[in-house]
Amino acid sequence: MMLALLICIPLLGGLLAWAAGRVHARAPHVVSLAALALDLCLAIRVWARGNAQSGAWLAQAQWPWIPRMGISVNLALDGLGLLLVLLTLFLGVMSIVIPSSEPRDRRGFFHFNLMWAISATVAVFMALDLFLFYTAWELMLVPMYFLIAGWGGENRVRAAVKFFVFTQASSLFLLIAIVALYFIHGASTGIYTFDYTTLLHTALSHRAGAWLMLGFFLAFAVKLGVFPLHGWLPDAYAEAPLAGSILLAGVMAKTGAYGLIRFCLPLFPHASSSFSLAAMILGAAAIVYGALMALGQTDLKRLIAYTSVSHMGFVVLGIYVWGQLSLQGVVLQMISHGITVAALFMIAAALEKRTGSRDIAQYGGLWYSAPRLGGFTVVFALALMGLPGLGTFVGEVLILLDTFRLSISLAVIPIAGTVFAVVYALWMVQRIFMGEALPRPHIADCKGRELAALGIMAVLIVWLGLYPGPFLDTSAPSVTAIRQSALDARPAGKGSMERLARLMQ
Amino acid sequence: MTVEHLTLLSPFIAVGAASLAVMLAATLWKTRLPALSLTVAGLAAALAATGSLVGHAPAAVTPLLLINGYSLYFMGLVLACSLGVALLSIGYFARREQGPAEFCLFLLLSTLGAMIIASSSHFASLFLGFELQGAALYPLVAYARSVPASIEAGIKYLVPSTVASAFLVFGMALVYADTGAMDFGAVAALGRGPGISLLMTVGLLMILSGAAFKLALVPFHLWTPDVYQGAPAPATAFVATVSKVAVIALLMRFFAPFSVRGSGAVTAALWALAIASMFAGNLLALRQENVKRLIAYSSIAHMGYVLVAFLCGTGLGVVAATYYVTAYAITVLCALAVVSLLSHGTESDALADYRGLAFKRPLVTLFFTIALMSLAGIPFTVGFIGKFYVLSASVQGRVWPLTLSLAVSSAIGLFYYLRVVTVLFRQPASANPKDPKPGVVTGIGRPLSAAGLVVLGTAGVLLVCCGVYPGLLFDFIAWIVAS
Repeated sequence: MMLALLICIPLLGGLLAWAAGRVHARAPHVVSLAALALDLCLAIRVWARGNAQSGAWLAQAQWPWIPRMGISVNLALDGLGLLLVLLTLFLGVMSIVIPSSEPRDRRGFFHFNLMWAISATVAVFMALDLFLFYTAWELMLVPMYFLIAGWGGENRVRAAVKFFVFTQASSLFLLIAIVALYFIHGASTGIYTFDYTTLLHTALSHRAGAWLMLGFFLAFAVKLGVFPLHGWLPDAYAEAPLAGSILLAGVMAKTGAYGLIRFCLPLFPHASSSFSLAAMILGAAAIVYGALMALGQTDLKRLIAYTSVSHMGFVVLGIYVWGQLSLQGVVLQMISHGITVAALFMIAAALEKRTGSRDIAQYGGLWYSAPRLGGFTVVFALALMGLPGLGTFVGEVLILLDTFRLSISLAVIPIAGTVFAVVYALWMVQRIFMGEALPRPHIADCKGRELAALGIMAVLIVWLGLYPGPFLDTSAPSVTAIRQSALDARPAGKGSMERLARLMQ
Repeated sequence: MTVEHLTLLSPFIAVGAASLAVMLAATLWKTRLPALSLTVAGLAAALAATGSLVGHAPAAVTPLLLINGYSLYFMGLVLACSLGVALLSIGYFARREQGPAEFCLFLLLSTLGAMIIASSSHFASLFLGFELQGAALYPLVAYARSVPASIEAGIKYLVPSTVASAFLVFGMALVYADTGAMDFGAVAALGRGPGISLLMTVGLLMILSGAAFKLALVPFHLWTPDVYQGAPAPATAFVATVSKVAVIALLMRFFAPFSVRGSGAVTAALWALAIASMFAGNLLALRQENVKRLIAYSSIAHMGYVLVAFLCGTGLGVVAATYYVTAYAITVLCALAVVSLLSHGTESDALADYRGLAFKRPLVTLFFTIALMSLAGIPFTVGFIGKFYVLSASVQGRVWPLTLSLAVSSAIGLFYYLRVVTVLFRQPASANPKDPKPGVVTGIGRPLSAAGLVVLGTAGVLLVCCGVYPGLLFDFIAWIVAS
């Protein structure tokens, strides 16, 4: 019941916000903020109560939906899902609390879309029925499309269509793969169901497994912005309105990583094991590619988008290494990257609002007029490059530790990438805040709600860096369970990873 | 002819009687109301009669018609769509000089033809239905006499349609020459042998091309965009729903024995038609600037999806195809109801007319958006469930080339559905009188027709309900197919 509430509160809040738009221009903002805050409190309560009920699951609920096809509304939350739900709701609150995210027109409809996107994302992190998961996965797109196309920057329609078509086309392959898995499982056992736990141990031929795995991987990789499939990402991140950018980069990218961890590898352990080397190379390439592309950007939001590609490279690498430490690192990396990227988009929006431009060349010397904003930018730029003491450092180190154990040469590439990260992060700060001030009127420093939001996020990123224990403890049981279930199914020493490891010895 | 036969024929009788009554009413009264209300009443009565027959044991009424659950379902669908069209035409003709009486008459006759196609079990009745449905449709398409585009559409429909009928008859003759049978059951039984003769193959292919013309499958689709665009909006809705539903019913009944096994040529032809329709329909729709033309190309693609389900050759395939046709009919009716409702005085179907509709008519836009989402196959709409079943059936049938074509072509399709949605939600163009495209909103401030809104609302609500809770309709169809 609690889980259904977590999904339904933003749904209802969205409808209410739309209706409230007719009453007063500020009303939708208040309604959706209240709904998200309530939802966040509920999620925190689930976190505080903590103790697992059965296995790694903290809470579970099931209702029939389309019994003839073996489809049910099967919701469950474990530590991994809970952390991502918390992240979603937290960033949801942050994205609307600051004044610069409020659109000028059609506010009711804006908040409706925002809330529905959040609700669908929360549902993605809870769905244990593959059909339900796919439904929620698709439903994330539509409100996000409207957010980008309705309230985005200059090239918003192009960016929105590109985003929609990339993700929708790839998820059609996900649907085919899901349906094929359903029939293969049904044909071999006689049980036709979309239930995740039942499908987990489907016997697949090598060829079938490889194709189905690719179908899943494609959809998740596009969402994650894995290197050759990231074409939509810079446009969408840069053109979306602030709340949309925060949701896209902070949360929706994580649904891809979540999908890989929860579905792709456990459902197809053999195929994923043979594929892991390729995926790890893609991840490592993305780290370097994203960092290099970020160096060349003049548009601040596009720069942040490419750093995101780079960081998601770490996530892919960590997932396919499939070690206990690396997976824990991935979880931490997802949370701290979500917070960092959201904060940076907020800063970018604040700068855009004050100077009227996203072009970095139009900034310069802003420190004199906005030292607090500059300070926050430094903190989050340091987080981008993974400074010890900040959340991203812990995540990256955990991922690299396991990668290093597997293959030294594979671990060298990301480390090279982090060098570029230092360059783009520091250079970004330098170009915006240092140097000669352009002849322009003073810009306002951040204060009030903006200051509070950035402050909370800075505190969180430091907390994640200094004392990640509570987060790691929450995700540990579920990560162990998922990892073990895939490892059990995988024959020892047959995957390319193990071959690679032997080669390196 | 017994009482039972008459009971079974009651839907046909109701529609036939209504058409006679409309003819009489048109001579007696010059007002609009009697003809329209008689049409609606007749169609509603026929629909009720069809509903009451569900569950009746399958029975052949004369050798010509077979009334079973399957034909009753399609008859019901045909009648429901045509009832929707009739209701739409109430609002549509309220604002036009031309009276609706003849429109109603031809609507009823064409519906009768479609019902006969859906329940025919013999070449004679099939041809009768085909011709009745087609012949009554020409005047419907060309009904707006003062509009050149409508006349053009009528001619463009008339000429290829006649050729298609000729193909159909020739095909029937060839099949008859080979098998000596005109009854579907007998033809299928004789065609089931190890190898079928060349004569039979050619005959079947010719019958198929006749059906493909009605469904506007590529390469028999060239008439579609002009006819959709030129015809009055309710007539477009009729062409898009009723005539396709009936022919799909025929296709599934007549060709099922041939496509599943044997006759490589017919199966190959169906595969080619399906793949070509999916790709050509979606690609050609990309650059359309007119909503009706866009729906025309989109309907070509959707008929391709139905063929995919049909070609799986599994039990699920038949159910999926039936479900998809139903989903398609509801969705297209909903979308064209919007066009019809907004066509005040002139047809408002240019995409530019729809700019900023969301701010002028939020409710209509909501339904239109839902319909477009359903055509695009987004969850919680019936179109998604339909596509899900079609994909499931094709995966189960292991027809991978069709599965992949479906996935890729529907991804292409997203572009143009999104284009329309984007236009709907764009800021309206400036109110500058010099602006050549002031954006619709033809007839803004005028109330929309209540009957039209009922159609829009019913279709929209059904669309979402079947999308959220699809089990009921699926179970019903599965039960009907099984019985």
